[in-house]
Amino acid sequence: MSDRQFIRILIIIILIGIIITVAHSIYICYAYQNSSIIQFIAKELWL
Amino acid sequence: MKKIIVIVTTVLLFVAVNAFFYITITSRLANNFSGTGQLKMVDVAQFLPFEEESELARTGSSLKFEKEDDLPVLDGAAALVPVYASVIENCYPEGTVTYEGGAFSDDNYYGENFAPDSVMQYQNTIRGFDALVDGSVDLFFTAHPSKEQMLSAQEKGVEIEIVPIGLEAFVFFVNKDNPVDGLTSEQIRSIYRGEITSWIEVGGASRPINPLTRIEGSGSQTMMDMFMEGNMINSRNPLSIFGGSIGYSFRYYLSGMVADENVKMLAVDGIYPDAENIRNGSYPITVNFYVVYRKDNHNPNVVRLVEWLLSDEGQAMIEACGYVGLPDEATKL
Repeated sequence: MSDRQFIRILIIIILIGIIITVAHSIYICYAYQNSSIIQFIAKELWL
Repeated sequence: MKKIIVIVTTVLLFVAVNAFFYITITSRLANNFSGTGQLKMVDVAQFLPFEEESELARTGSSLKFEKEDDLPVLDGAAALVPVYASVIENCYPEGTVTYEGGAFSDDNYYGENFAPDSVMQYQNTIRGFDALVDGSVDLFFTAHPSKEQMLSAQEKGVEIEIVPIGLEAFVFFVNKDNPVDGLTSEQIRSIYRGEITSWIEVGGASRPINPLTRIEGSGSQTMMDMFMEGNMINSRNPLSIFGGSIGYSFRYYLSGMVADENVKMLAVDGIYPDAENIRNGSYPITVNFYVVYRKDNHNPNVVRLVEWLLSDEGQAMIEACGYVGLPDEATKL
């Protein structure tokens, strides 16, 4: 794999990763405002 | 080889971040986010009168309406559906709860399809109160109407009678594995003012507190605003979302309607919100719930039904629904 190819693949992966993470975060912000707080607390993890 | 490792590590990094978000937050957001889902605070299908499998309080009644009587139409807030559906079950003749299309369905925007001639309606707090003021509903079961609702009725020249019929507690709750079992009123206020930010400050684990709030205008939020005496901060550390949450609601949602064994109610000022402590007034945040009607409603069965709700039979039914009845001295009209 040439350096050029490597950088291109890396940029694509980072871009896809950022898009997915941002979309996930936006979904969390929206859903968190509308969620049942009883369900939210019931599923909380306490280790 | 080095390049492959960098690529794989980058992919794994994003997977790890999103998996962490999913496990700690996304998987807990279990609600249905559609418009219908938000309006559907209660599964009314579980509380339909005259259906054998309905979860109603069948305590019996000496007040029995006949089909030819002028039957009061009942409506109410989501949390009180079991109460007024049980009133119909005990006091009304069969065949008086009817549905558009002939059978119950909750598959439309507003959820339920009660027919216009049905004695049971379910329009929830805002639309239901408007229906009472407009005269299409005779009795409305609710927490105390808001100032805005009272003003709206006044502007339309409608006088409203508000009769307390039972007791309800405003409760705070946490996950069942949270080691804290109780808080003082002042600790709760400090948490929601952002002055106490970790559970360790109130005898719990070393973990941030995530103080959850409710939608503006909801019954719970109105009650919380009163409890906080208008001194509640709305901004907080976004990272507290990963902490241990505390929320608030009315007791009936937690003990009956949306009961979940993975949450526990907290004692407040050392008093646990059980029926006895609510009835004897020792639990510090206890409120009435009411039946409301227009003063100019000339249907005599409206007052008969209100009197029945305050009788021993009516109070027994309210208790069987999972609420707390009024103390004896409060049931005298």
